Amino acid sequence: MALFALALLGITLTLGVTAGPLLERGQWAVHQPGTALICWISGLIGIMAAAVGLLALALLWPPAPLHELLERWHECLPHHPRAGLIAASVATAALLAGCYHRLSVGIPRVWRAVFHRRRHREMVSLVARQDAEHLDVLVLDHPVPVAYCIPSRHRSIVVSRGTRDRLDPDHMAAVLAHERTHLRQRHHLLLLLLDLMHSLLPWLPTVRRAQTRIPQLLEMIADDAAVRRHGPGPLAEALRRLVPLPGPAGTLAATGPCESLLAHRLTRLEAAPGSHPRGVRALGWVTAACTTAGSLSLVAIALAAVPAPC
Amino acid sequence: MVTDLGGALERAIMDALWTADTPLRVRELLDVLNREAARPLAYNTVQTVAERLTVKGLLAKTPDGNAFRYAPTRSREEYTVALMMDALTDSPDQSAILARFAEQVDADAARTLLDVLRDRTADDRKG
Repeated sequence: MALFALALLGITLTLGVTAGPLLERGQWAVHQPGTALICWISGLIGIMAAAVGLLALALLWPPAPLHELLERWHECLPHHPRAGLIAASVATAALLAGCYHRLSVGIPRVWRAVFHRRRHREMVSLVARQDAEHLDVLVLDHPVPVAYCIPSRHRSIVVSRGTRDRLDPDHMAAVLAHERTHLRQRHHLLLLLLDLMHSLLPWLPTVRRAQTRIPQLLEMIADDAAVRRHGPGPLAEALRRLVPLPGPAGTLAATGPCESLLAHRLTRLEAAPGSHPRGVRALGWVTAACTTAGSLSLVAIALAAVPAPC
Repeated sequence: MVTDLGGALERAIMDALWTADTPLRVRELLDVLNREAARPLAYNTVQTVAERLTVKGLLAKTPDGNAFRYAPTRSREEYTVALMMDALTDSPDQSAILARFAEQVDADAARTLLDVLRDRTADDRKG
């Protein structure tokens, strides 16, 4: 058991500590946001699988009481020394308490987010008006520009009057293509799962960094999809016009990481499409596949090695 | 389909009450709604949906003789500002609820931005 546990712990820590910083360092992600996203997701799946596998191993391996319980179900007599059983019971109780604590933070958080989003969607459908041109767009009557999407069956892109006024039709088309990509590729769901994972395992650097990096990659992916349909010009212009900050009398200045992401996206759009090394893409996919397959199969082997009850 | 119909009627009722200056009885509300409707709505349907909106906290009802008068609890502008706050900011507890096109700003900045604009619009209306 010790060997399997060490291996799983090794995977959790290696991926958890090194994968994020490594992925963050590479400049290639800017040119290949899709591949970068796959790498991040495979790292996170690897971490989650190894952590859950480790937990299952700790709970099920004899003399842990859950294993004992399984044995009782099989109408066997306990074979393990009492002292071991007591120690393992205490350890199991501590582990289960830890799990309960993490889940009691994470699950309500996700539930609140979903509830909040549903309420937001209901209010939008009451307050906003249907756009005259685009069937899936609702317009909020407000001069500050916003554009966003809410996952729902119909009319899920919301723009404000400020946005409509500032954008020409071709800019608008680019923005809508961007938002429709978010919706089509279920980016909301990914962000929600990421948030859940972060509240379950907040200590690992990879998970922490994924929470800032993955949203940025999703924006780039949506940008790229819009550029493929409408070219980089309209989207870049729309981004410049939609910054919510050239507010009245310049009372507000863009600050913090937000501005740098915006600048980053603009630079990407303005840069001439250079040569994208195909090797990077292939290497990324292979690494991602190996990471996921490796950690999942190790978990499977470890669990298969748990002594069967009788 | 049924929920969608309910949603459309909820929207129509809120629209009618936001447009009306005074609280309306269900009968008056029905008249307003049926003025434009292709197929007239039933009194009970409108009453049920108005009741549902009251339970949701969107309408307030005051007794008036044997019936009730319904009025929106907040104006359309107030709800719009609340939605804009949501759309512009990202409170840490409700991350990942929206994917915005441009960046979010912090809550204080968004509040100031919306307040200044509201005051300016109010001045424009007066002047």
